Amino acid sequence: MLYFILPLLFSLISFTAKRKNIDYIILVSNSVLNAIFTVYIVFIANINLKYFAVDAISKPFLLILSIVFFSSSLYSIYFLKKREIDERWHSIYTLCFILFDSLMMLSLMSVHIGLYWVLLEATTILTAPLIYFNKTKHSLEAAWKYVFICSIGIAIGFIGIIFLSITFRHSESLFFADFYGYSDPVSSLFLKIAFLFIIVGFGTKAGLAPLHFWLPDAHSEAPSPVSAMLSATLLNTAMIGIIRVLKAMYIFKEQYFANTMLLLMGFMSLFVSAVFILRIKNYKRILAYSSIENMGIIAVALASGGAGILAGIIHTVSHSLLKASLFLTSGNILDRYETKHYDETGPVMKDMKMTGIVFGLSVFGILAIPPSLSFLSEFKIMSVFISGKNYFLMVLFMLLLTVVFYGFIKMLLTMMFGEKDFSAVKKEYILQILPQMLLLIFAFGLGLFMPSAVKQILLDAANWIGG
Amino acid sequence: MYYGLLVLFALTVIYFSVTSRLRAYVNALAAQGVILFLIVLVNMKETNFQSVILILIETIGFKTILIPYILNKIIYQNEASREIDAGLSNFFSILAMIAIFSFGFILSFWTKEVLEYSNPFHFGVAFSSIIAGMYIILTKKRLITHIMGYMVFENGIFLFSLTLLKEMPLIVNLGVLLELFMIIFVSGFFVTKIKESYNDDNIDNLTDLRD
Repeated sequence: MLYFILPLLFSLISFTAKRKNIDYIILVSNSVLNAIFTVYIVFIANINLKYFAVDAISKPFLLILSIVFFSSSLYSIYFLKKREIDERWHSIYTLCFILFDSLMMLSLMSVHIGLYWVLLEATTILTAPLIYFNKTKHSLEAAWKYVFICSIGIAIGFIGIIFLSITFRHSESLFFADFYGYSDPVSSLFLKIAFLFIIVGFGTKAGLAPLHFWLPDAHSEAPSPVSAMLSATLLNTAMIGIIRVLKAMYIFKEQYFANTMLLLMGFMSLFVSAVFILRIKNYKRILAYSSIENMGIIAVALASGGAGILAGIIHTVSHSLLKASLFLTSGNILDRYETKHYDETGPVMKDMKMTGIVFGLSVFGILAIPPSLSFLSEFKIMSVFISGKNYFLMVLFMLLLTVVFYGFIKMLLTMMFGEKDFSAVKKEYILQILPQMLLLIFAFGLGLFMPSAVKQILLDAANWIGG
Repeated sequence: MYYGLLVLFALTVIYFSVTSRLRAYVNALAAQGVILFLIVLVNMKETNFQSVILILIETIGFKTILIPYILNKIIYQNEASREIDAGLSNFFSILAMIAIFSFGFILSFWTKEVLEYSNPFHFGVAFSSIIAGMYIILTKKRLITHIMGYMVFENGIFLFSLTLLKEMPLIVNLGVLLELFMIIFVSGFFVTKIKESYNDDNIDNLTDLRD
């Protein structure tokens, strides 16, 4: 745990030095050290402290966080260099960005629901300045909605924790392990109420409908590397809280209620995103709605049980890698054309070839076109529907995904081969492309060949949940 | 005395519906901090010095002194004194609050059998305050009042958490406290910025981002 002194130290240096070059060094070195530390705690060490542990469920989430954070940190250097930002805000960005990552790591490793709650709420406070970073009226509105709605959501989650505490009152503990090992009779009513508050509360932060309103605003107004982190890692960090309580629901035979709630919110998220992806033209908002859609898919997968749980874990990995790539690449397009409307951009494939290729591949990946990892997960979900004879859900699921598919392809074709003339071909920098390529290698590489160590981590996570 | 304190707490929540003066809201919140402290003291089965100090900091320190101070400062900076007329009369607001509290009490007495260890009156006040906080957020126009509605919501949760058999660990308690303070601080910063950008802190201004 001594590792966490490092980001604190880096933040302090950034805040006191207020030198742009130092911030760049900090961003790179912190993300590299973070990646090394993550590999160490996931594959080598066995961290099992009182409040923090690296267990089967946190491992895939930690790996995703480290990859996305590394890519976003590299892209941040391009993002910050491109703009005329005063030293103060430069330093605020750096310190919030790296502390945000550390808080998420700690949240994922937290085995005490009270502490997890505190850490999750702390991420809201730290990301608010990052969303407001552009200091426009829109970013102000987005940041306000984000802080306010998420705080209410997290407070609702706290009511869920109180009910959990009442449910497991004889254990006098808020450790997840004590919930799972509780031997006294459990009130089914209280456990259900607790789960209801938890799924609505933490679900707000995880971007699940119907309390998803903050998400399209925050993700579209935040700087692109921040949008990537919000979408690819923060939503997962909130989801792990739901998953940890879901395990308790399974242990105490309340899977029917839990799965029904997950299914309901999952399909609601899919429906909301399908409707909006079809009708809006702001590509960053489309990507944000796609995050809601993918969180919905994960919820549906978890609710399906059995192989669906493994599909949910695989989809979490896939969505995070591809969505981070999409948000980072959308930053390139925004910088080039200075518009968020896809029908106002020029032909990206002509003006910025590499950006166009990366964006296209990311869209294909998120639409589950083989060999993307998403294909594997969505195929598994469909198999679970078929084997369970849930034909109605299968058709509904396919229908909503087809609407999203159409919306994305329409956006992609308009952006890639648009007819607007923006004259000169723009030079592309390595830091604009390299981070996304790294993410795509993982997203498609794992779809083609999954090393046994990674496969084992995903299987262990799915087995850990049970169901 | 315990029941008297719960009634007083309920009255401070209802007070939000009879006035539109922002400073009166802040005073009601400060009073809630004192009442919560007294409720904890009255309920305390064994005197633990560390717990008393912590609760004192949490209720009096934060909820009665520090947060009202920040809220008053925001009100002063924004040159606002009254809530914007949202078209809802005080009479309607009082009726709504009475309906909320009635619902809270009916629910708590209805579930009395299940809540064998808990005081249904306590549960009723806490639950109604949580709903009332949401009601304030949904019906008031000024962002600063939304923050205060959030505080009522938080105080309701605090009252609700007193039904817990075991206290939260110190680290969690401190974390919750610190975050409550930070949320108010960060929200206050945004309210001031919104006032600078839009000339007032009316929630209706924040409708640019929609699909």
